[in-house]
Amino acid sequence: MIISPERKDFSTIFHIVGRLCLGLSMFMLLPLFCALAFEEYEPFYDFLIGFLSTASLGFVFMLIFPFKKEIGWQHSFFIVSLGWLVASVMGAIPLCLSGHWSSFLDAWFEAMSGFATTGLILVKDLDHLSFSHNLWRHLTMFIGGQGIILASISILSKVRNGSLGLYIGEGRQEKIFPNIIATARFIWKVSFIYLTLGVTLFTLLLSYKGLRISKAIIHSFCLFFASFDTGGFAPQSQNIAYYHSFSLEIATMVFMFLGAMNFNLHFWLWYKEKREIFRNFEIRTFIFSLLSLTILLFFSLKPLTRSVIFRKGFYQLVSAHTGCGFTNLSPGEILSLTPLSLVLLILAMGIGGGVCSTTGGIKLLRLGFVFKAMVGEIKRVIMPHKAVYRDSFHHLRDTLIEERHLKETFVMVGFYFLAYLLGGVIGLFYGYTPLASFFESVSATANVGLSLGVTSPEMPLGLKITYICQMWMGRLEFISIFASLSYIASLFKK
Amino acid sequence: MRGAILFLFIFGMFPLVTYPQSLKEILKNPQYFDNRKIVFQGEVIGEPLKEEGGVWINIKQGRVGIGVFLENPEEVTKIKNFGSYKRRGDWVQIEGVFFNNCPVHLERDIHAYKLKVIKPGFILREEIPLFKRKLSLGLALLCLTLGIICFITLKYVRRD
Repeated sequence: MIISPERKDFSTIFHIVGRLCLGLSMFMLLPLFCALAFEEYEPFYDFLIGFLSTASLGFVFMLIFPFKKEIGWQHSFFIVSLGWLVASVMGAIPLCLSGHWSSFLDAWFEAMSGFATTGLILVKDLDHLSFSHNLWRHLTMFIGGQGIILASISILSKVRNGSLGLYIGEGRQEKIFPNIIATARFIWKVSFIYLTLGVTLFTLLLSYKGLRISKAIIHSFCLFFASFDTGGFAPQSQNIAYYHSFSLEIATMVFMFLGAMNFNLHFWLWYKEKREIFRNFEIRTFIFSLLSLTILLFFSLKPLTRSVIFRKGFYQLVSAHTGCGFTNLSPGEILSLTPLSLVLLILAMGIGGGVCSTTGGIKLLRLGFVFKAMVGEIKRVIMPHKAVYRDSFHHLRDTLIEERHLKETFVMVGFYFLAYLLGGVIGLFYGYTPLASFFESVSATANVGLSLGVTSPEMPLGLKITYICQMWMGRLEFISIFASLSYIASLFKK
Repeated sequence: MRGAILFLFIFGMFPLVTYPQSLKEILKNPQYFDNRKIVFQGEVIGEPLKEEGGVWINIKQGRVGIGVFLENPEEVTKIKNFGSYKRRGDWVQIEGVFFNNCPVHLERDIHAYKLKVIKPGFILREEIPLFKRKLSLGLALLCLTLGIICFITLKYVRRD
């Protein structure tokens, strides 16, 4: 039985979305001040319009829809799904006004790509885009990486009662503290500490390359947001290849790894047990998966020298596996890699990083469960008939693998595979090659951002909408969206 | 005989004349152009980036771009405008060797031995469209009004 919503329920949902809009408008003040600081007057007006329209929408929602009911689970999923859509639409306003996107749909695509930490781009002439617009593109990844709703619930008092539903609705399975507000604040704390470290390191490296200090700082913020939040946008059209710096590539790899790590694991390593890093099931799965893929990649690119394989192959593999999408190759260069290496990249993208991190994809914990289930099934067959086989895993603590773990895992893996497949088939329908179609589909759903050149301003409108949906669904891990859809469907069954 | 001399004269002159190639074509056929001398034109973007033994610049032609390594750092002083939000970069002609997998820098690049500024860049002037000014003003008034109403309403509801 599905609980059918009433008028009061919708009033509460839209009221919270209104508050979310107010929160988002505050974030727009950052690029607005950046535009003033760098004397970019037209972008200043773009952000002023963006800020005022988002805040106005927030006020309108709050006035028309009063807060009438405490937030329950059914509201949470709807708030999350709708909140992400509204945020991406409002976030697209300043981008569209800049004239660097062909249409509002393209700007919306870019904003969704940013919030979902994907990194697929439709911007035209990125090298002549203003600092403030570039900062906003990258800031969307930071806001989205933390979770748009999570970012808001840590500052909005009325949302606290239903915060657990909102937190889980954004695709996070684990709490760090019993209290969600404390969890949200810890995630902010971790992010700000790494932000300080990252920006300092990147500024030093970029200054050494000869960038003037103000530009080096802006680029450093952008690079940090894109690497730690596993987004993959870059301030220049050549992405990371623009800097021609091996040390910068290594530094981005470090932050990609940190971003792909479970926030719970960060907490454990900081405050509890340092040795957890060696025992953790997700980390072990990651090492196993990365090592296997690296060996295969090495053989697939064998004619190249080891150092070229490291720079051209391994960097893309790490970027794909951590869901970042940074690349030091052009789409044409990625396409010129061997078919096997492209398949390996698709696999890495499809798997993704840790749960409760900023990455998308199936996630390491689930991949580990799938392997454990397969091994367990084989053992069960060869063991005596009456023997009972129980397996466990160590993720922060020793836990027995139960039926519900496996059920959840296979449902989620099924959703991801369906989405990967559906996007790929739609790509094929538009006449793209199978490899390019599935590469792009997995990249969009797993929120990675690597591209073989399918994603461009000229791609068909239907495919743009498909990728927007894939990025949105992949980031929220399907459940929130399907729950919201059934919530709406129940209205018609009355 | 005269025809053969004329043929040799015309086609023999070709190596002395440099024809700019399309960067897109070069990047589409990297195996063919690998380790070959090429000539192409494009806009200089960003800024010069220091590197041991030279300096990097990034050149954009249409939608494609590539890193060009100048072994003589003095060459970069010829460039006065680097493309950015406020500037159109100098349009330059590069003569150099294309490497699909550069053995020194381990990336796809061009080692230039000659750089010539074809067309100087210029400052891009900002013009704020009137509709943006009017829209901002209208939205500011709307937002302020809604904000005040919202504040009063919420205060009233709280007291209630």
